[in-house]
Amino acid sequence: MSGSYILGFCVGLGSVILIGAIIFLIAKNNRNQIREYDERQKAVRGVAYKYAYITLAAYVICNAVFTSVTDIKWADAFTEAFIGLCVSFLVFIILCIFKDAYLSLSERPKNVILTLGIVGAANAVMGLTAILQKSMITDGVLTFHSANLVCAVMTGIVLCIYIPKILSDKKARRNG
Amino acid sequence: MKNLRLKSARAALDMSQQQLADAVGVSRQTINAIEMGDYNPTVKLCISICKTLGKTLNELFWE
Repeated sequence: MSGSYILGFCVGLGSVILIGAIIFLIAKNNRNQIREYDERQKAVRGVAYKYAYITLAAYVICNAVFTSVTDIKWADAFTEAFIGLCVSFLVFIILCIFKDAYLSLSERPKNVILTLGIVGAANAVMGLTAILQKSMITDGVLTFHSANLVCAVMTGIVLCIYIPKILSDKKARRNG
Repeated sequence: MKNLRLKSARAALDMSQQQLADAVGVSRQTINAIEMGDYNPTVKLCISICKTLGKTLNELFWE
């Protein structure tokens, strides 16, 4: 492992701990901001978790069958697992959005869209950097450097579904 | 089956779905789902809605 890799790992880990501590302190000081879902939302999220689990199981089985039958290694083990988790998480989010169970009672759509936009843009920039550096694919195998691009695509899909939903919800609220 | 009695009771008090939702502590979409007959609320939520609208369970939720 190179020195820059270890330094990057430490900076990343430190950032996660710092951001986690800030979020924890904010949540502790402002108890109204604690995520709370109503009874219908909880039921919907339970069903969405089920479908996300089924998706993950199907992905794992399909990937195992594909790899063993064709003998093609398309991604390293870490990336395979990460993409599987992203796909199942995406299923969960999309189901929650369609069934109006994505936002908790205290969350505001504007803030969520802004956060998703920032996260998506940051990941897209890092993903494009990985493409330019040609570190995404090594010896025909997708590496974990593709994780940022996967996150960016995922965030983009979520925003493409979420923004029209919010707009139609706004219209319904005016009529309701 | 749509719950038109809930909708009319809410409209009689000139409340929007959002106002009723805020009063009983659920999302607007949940009130909409109850009115459209897409969701069966728990007794706890039914009671909360009845208290807010000044109606009995029989008046709003009994067939």
